[in-house]
Amino acid sequence: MNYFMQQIINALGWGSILALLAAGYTMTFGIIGLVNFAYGEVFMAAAFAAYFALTIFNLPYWVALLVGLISAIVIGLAIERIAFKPVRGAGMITLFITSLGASIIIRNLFVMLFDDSLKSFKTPNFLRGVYLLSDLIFFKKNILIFSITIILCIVLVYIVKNTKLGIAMRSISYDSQIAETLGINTERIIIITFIIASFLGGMAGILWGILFGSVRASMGVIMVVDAFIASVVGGVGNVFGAMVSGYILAIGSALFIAYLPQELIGLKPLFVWVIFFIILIFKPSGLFRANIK
Amino acid sequence: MSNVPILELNNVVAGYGKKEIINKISIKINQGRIVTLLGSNAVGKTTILKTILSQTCLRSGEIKYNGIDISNLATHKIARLGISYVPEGRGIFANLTTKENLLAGAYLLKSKQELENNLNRVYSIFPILKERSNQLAESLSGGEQEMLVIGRSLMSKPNLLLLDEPSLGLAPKLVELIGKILKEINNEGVCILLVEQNAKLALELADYGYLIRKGTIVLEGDTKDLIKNKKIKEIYLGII
Repeated sequence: MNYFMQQIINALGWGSILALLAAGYTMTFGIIGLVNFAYGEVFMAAAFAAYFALTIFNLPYWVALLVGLISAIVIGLAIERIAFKPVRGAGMITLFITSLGASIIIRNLFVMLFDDSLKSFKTPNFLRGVYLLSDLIFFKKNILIFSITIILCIVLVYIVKNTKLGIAMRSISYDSQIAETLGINTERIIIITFIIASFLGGMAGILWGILFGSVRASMGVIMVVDAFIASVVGGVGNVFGAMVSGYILAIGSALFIAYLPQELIGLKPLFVWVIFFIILIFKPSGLFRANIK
Repeated sequence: MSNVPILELNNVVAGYGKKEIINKISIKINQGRIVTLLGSNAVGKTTILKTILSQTCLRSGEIKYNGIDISNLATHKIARLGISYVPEGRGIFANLTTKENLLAGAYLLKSKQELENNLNRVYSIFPILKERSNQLAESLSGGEQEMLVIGRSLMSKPNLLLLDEPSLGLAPKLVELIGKILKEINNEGVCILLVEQNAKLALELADYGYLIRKGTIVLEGDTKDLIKNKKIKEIYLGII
């Protein structure tokens, strides 16, 4: 039983990062039908910006955090203006292709400039070590990451469910033309959505850096596909669903390999795909209510 | 009351992309009036409404609202001027609850008190919406959804209401109710542009009417004259 619980607890760090990424991903997926392959690069670039602020400029941690988040928003908006706005309304496939192009360009730019090696940095002292509760080990890092994520989750769900902005977002996701006739400035709301999504992606990237003590240029590629799967599993455009799915997929993957023989540990990435196909076959609209037609 | 018509279309030519749907349409709605656009399926009635809302390609002509040129104004800005739209085929947000749909209609309101007042007013006009306020809009029946869209359009206290086939697919009793409500709203000063295939409802309700065919106006006049008109009787045989 303890082994089982420990697996779950250990997975909460990565699960939180996936939850944040899935939430941001599903927001832009829902509102303009964008399958955003370049989101992984927003995630990665924010982590790199924070990394540079920390190691090269020796700025304090909270400044590095701010630098990372601002970079995420700037890059996210830049990608939106350059790769998505010009082809808005051209259909999901076109948007996906331009996002793929943006992803390849940005990622390879980073690889060219900084190569694809692991860039490590020291974990801050207050995040080192563990807490022990009965027989269970809680890494301080994981507790911080989990706490931040839960707070952001609560704030996000509140915005989506209880504010004018949330109603505007969900209306536009369903039918943007009718939303416009209600006086909703869809262009402005779409930009705000991208800002929030980029903020979440940037936060996820920085937390990833904290969790693994390192960043690398290819870190976005792996995560973005999992984020896409989590958002479909959760119901497209549903922020709560995406976050729950992120945790389910992370915890599920951890439990999956925990009970497999040692040689089969390489099969871990398979788990999310199995869940993905099961959902597509039995409940293609996702576990929770989707926000699209 | 001002003498300027609340809405004026002058020789409007419009369509979607390269396709032209409406040709040289000129319509006038005077303050406090109900005007109807009649015609069978696919003659361009919906296109006229969408053109007013800047959701089509306007080729030529102009659209004026209270004398102001709104020909190329962004849709959300047109809504801000006090024009509400009840789309064809319900047009509810199925992913939102009944109440959330109404709140979406109140998007432009600034004060919470105004929102509360308008919500209560819509609930008193359509009590069933209050009963179903926390249900998802997609679980409402066809008639309830129509009430919801009309209710939603009233939340912003519009000056001009554009309605696209509100009676489509509804039971006669409900059509009667909607007619009554539109009359009441008009008595309070809201101008109405009503697109309808149900000629009986339209001609009973409206003061002035235009008969559309293949994207152009073939007949227009006071509805009391249109009712007697042979051409209309021919087209709508059995309904009048």
